[in-house]
Amino acid sequence: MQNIYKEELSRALLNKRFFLVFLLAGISFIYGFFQVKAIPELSLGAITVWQEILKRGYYGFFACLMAVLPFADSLSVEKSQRFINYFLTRVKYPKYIRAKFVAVAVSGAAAVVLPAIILLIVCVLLYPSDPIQIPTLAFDAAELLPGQVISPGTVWENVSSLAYLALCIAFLILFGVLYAVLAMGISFQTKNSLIVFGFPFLCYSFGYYFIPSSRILQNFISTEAVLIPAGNLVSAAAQCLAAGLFFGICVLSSGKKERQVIK
Amino acid sequence: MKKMKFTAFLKYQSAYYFFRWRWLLPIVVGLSLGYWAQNVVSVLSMPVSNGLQGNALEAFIWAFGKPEIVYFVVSILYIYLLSDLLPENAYGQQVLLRLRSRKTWWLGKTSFVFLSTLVYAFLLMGSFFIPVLVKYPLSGEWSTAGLNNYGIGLGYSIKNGTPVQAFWSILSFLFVGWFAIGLLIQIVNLISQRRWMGFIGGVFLIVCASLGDIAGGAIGGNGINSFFLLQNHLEFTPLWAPMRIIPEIYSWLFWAIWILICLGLGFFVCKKASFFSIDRQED
Repeated sequence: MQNIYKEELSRALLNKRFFLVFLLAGISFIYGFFQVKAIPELSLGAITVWQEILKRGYYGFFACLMAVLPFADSLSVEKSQRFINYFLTRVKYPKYIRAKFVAVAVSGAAAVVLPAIILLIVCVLLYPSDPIQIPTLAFDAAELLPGQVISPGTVWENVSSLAYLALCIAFLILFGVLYAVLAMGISFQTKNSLIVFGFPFLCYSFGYYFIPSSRILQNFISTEAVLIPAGNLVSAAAQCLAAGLFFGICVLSSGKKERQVIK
Repeated sequence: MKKMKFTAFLKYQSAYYFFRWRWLLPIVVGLSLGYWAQNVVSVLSMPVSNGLQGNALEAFIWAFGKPEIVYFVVSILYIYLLSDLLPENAYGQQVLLRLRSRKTWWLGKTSFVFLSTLVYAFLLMGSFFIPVLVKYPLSGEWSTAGLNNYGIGLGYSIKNGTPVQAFWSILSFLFVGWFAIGLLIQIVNLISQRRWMGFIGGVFLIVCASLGDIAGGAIGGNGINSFFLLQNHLEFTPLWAPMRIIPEIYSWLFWAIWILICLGLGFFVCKKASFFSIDRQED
């Protein structure tokens, strides 16, 4: 099978579940829009309004579901329905897993970033381009330690609006990839779609409360730090690293072909 | 073939669903929340030398009255645990044959959702009290820390009776709310014939409940809208508001109507459902 990548990508992207993805995103945006509208004497630029809608519409909660919806459970479904056997007679297992990984990551990123870009276009059409409020941004691992605060020396200064916009979009992509990969990692362990969908959401939801409330972890901001860039960006990098490690452990512990094929 | 008894059905359901690794999660979460709550109470009730002391029930009221914990931790976990009771797998379909009645089957499922809610609440709250009781006593009176303005800040509960009354109010609203949401999840699963659909539906409900009125505005909503907002019914006091927006009786009425609709709808859907067309095996 030569075109396993093409096959997996087309299955991931041309997928009816994207309707549900856009529906969930739409609900989050409507909520966010009304919350932003309620701010008295609103005079914000399009990019700031866009970020506020994402934040106040709890887009992260919807996005971690949206990222896994299109294709993240495909490995578990293919195992439970024995569809994986048909693939493995025609393609080598490592190649199949690599193709699956790419398709899951791309579909996760697309599911999170596409609705957000549509919202951005709407915001640009409806709101003036200025003023843009860029939050404090820094990148310093030492300042993640408990009791530390971001020192002025490590703050990124004069970040242009275009660079900030690019960073916001990159974070949305990263968020989609992170949660989709987390779901794929767990699908090495189970054939149950519910666990595959539920696990990333539980991680996001628990982290959303526990990280900022903890005295030790509070410098990691929250799980929302991967969605919306603000504060110390090492927090987002650390969360991505944790997800990558989790995926690696899942692959190493249960990623062998025999374990996936033999029931 | 001998007809399966209702109690045997419940026994089979309990043995099949409760003895899974994921049912250990409420214990882990309960222990973490308990540890957290006793720490918070000890920090907020300082200095001890002034005679300020906490009470285990106050720690409970603080934790389970906190919207972040109610929405993003305990309700989400409940939905995760309850979302795969339906649709039945191949063995479950055979059990339905043995029961010989779809009505009994749905009644059994409803009873099992109730039982699961009971078990979930027991595991979560039982493990919550383990670390709390190590440090604080159970008392029917408010502690000086609880009553103090700069203390634990239990707001509305203090003005409306004893800690025991507040404990039962919070617990009963959460319990009935979870049970009602659990029933709705089963119906979504039954209609969609997919387990993850119920999960997404439940999660959507909880996230929207924490967001409140779609048009924004005050916590708990305004006017007639406030009677339909889930945050006014699932919690004793909605979100961070230090008071109830609507009288308690309306919340009971809201959940009673919700449960009755779900029961009726469940009977209707399970009569029409084609169980044997399901070929998915997801265990």
